[in-house]
Amino acid sequence: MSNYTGSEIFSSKTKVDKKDSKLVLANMIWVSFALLIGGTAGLLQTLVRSGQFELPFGIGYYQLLTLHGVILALVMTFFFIMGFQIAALSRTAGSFSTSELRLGWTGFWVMTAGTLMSAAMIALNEASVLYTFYAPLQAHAVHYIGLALVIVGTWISVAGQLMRYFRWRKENKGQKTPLLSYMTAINNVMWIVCTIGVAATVLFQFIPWSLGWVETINISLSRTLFWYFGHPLVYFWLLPAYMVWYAVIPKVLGTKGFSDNLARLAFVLFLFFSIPVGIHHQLVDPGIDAFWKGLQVVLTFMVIVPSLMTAFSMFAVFETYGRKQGARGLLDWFKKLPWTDARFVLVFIGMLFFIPGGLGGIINASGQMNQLVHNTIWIVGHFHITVGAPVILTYFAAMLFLLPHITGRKIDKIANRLGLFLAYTWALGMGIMSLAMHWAGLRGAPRRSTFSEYGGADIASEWITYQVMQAVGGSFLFIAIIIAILLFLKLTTGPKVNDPEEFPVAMFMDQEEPVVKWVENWRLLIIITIFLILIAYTVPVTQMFTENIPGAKGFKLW
Amino acid sequence: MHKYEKIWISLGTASLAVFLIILGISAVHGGHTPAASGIETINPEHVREDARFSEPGLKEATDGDHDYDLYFLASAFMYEPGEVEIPAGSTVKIHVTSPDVVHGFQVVGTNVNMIAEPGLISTYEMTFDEPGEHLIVCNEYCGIGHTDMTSTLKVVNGGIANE
Amino acid sequence: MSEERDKIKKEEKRNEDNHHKLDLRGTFMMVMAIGGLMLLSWFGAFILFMERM
Repeated sequence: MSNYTGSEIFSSKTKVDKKDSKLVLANMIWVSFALLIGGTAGLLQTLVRSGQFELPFGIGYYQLLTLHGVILALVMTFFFIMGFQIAALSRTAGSFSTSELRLGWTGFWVMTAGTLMSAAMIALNEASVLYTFYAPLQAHAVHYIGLALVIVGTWISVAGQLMRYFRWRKENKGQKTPLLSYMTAINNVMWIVCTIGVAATVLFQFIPWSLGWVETINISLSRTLFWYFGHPLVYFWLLPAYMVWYAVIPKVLGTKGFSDNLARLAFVLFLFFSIPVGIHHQLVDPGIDAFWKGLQVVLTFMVIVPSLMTAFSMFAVFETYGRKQGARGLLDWFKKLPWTDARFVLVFIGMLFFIPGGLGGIINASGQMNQLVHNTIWIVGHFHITVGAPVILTYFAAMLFLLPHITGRKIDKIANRLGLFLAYTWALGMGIMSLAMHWAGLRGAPRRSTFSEYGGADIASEWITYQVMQAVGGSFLFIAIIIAILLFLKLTTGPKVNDPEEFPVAMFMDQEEPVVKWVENWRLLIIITIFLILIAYTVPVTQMFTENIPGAKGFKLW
Repeated sequence: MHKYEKIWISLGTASLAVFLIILGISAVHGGHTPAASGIETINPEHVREDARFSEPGLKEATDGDHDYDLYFLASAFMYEPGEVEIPAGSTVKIHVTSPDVVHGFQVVGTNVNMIAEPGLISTYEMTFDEPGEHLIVCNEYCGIGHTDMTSTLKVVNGGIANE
Repeated sequence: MSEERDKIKKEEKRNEDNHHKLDLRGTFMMVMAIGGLMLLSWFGAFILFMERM
């Protein structure tokens, strides 16, 4: 219940509270489970697309693809983010109160119920609409209700987390909040603001329509509300990884973070610019004027700036550390980095993947240039080297210290070695698969498509060569997932120790400096966020109501 | 901020600004605005009664500065027309719509790549200079027969224009 | 009050100096390399886009 305000925030002795730990562990069990199921689906997809394999038991390719998207992009990430943020708050702000913890558990069970409902519909082949569930393909109403419950569950959990953060602030007026706690609050506020879009479309459009209460659905509106949520969603995945990069990794190295204030500033910029940019996923959609597409492209480019800042901060920490260890030349500090520490290696490999991931993202968002890659498998390659590498590898690194931390164990030699194997196997598999996807995409190969020779067209046979490469990469990735599951088991079993694994929290070079006041002025931050959203969305959304676009009836075409 | 960080952020942001300026100029002066922009509605249940889509295909343009209008109907799971010939060098305005679900319309090897939605018409203007054959594929999941949706766009010398 | 402010200013100054004294040549080189890749990849894609126009 008490707040951490001083050196205990950074002490290796400070632990996530015991009761909070149980909730964290519950969330992490879901992560492991979802990873195994989603990863298996992914492997089977790459095998099908290689043309050498057919699915047994009447399972459909698109059924499998729906499962893969929902269970990994939504379920796994949500449970991880809830669990990690609760741990980060309990570790840096102090333990949760009874009511805060109760919200955490309620959220967990609501998310679980929603997941099971959707999973049942997918298993019954009543919801093969992929994770974007574009209308007017119409799934069973229970699927939409399940998805809505998953979102509502995150709200409940997030409410508990925000209460924890604001309680710290209230009880320590005028003091700088612990960085990790502040970062979870930014991510959570962004989440509340952006999920209003998907909640609105599911509650007011999809559910009444799938229950037959209304006959038609406004497609442009549903797509726009989806992407109003869909892009900040990727930052919701990314920011917990950035939390580890900024506030954990320097301590893993045994050094200080670069700048607390710049880290907060970067997170504020993510809050401002990750939401009013969703239309860059709809650059070749009808129903939106070119001007508003262009405006959101400009706003999208603003959200690149905090990632430029992050790149600098990360290298600066690494270089400063290496030089302290005696590096003298231009780049020999790389050699001084802890290449045998799996926590570091997992994150570092993730960071490397984020370089081409970010560069590809700039191309995707470049207005008309999107036509080069839109809905080609390039896009699939892109998000597998963003969420599928930097984000997930950092999640793995976090679980590497978090699982033993909350269960009273330590990372032993075997676990560390498994972690290193995981990092290298993942890098190999993802490297092969994503490269093949990017190249095939530039040659026109579509995403979200089962194996096809397209009537024997020459170009399609070229695509198939790349699809075989994707299956090779996918196989390595599946091996990596098996290693990850073994690692999680290793980390949560075996003898307990008296001084469990540390949850590392770094100090910063500017730790003693006062915080820039306005970054903690939540009223101001929310006003600016909403103002930008209104600028970006008011006119295009209004037009979707006023231009008399005919509604669409539902279809079940699978 | 460290001196190097200031330089990096300034140069990085400047590069992004340059990209945006190039895109803006290309869009406004080169006519390369993103495909399918704008709002043109059509009743999805009566698409086939509409003169433009009752017999989709290539038609000589009656207005605008393009040579032909090319109408495509994307439905589950086929494109109409299943094959089309375009005289090399002609400027074609492509119009696509759907009577059922959302489909993709991608002319492989060109910049024609857009979404077709029921209720709206997606348009894009393009000049086909090089003779050759392009596969058209649906790149938005539309159901079980998604990958059966194909058509062929042939850019031919002479062709209809010279008949 | 002003004394305190002076103290904070001095503190800031010291920290600023700390940051400025860091040898970050390698970092600068790495981010410039990323910037170079950004220009290369973007213009590469732009040229491909114009070729397909």
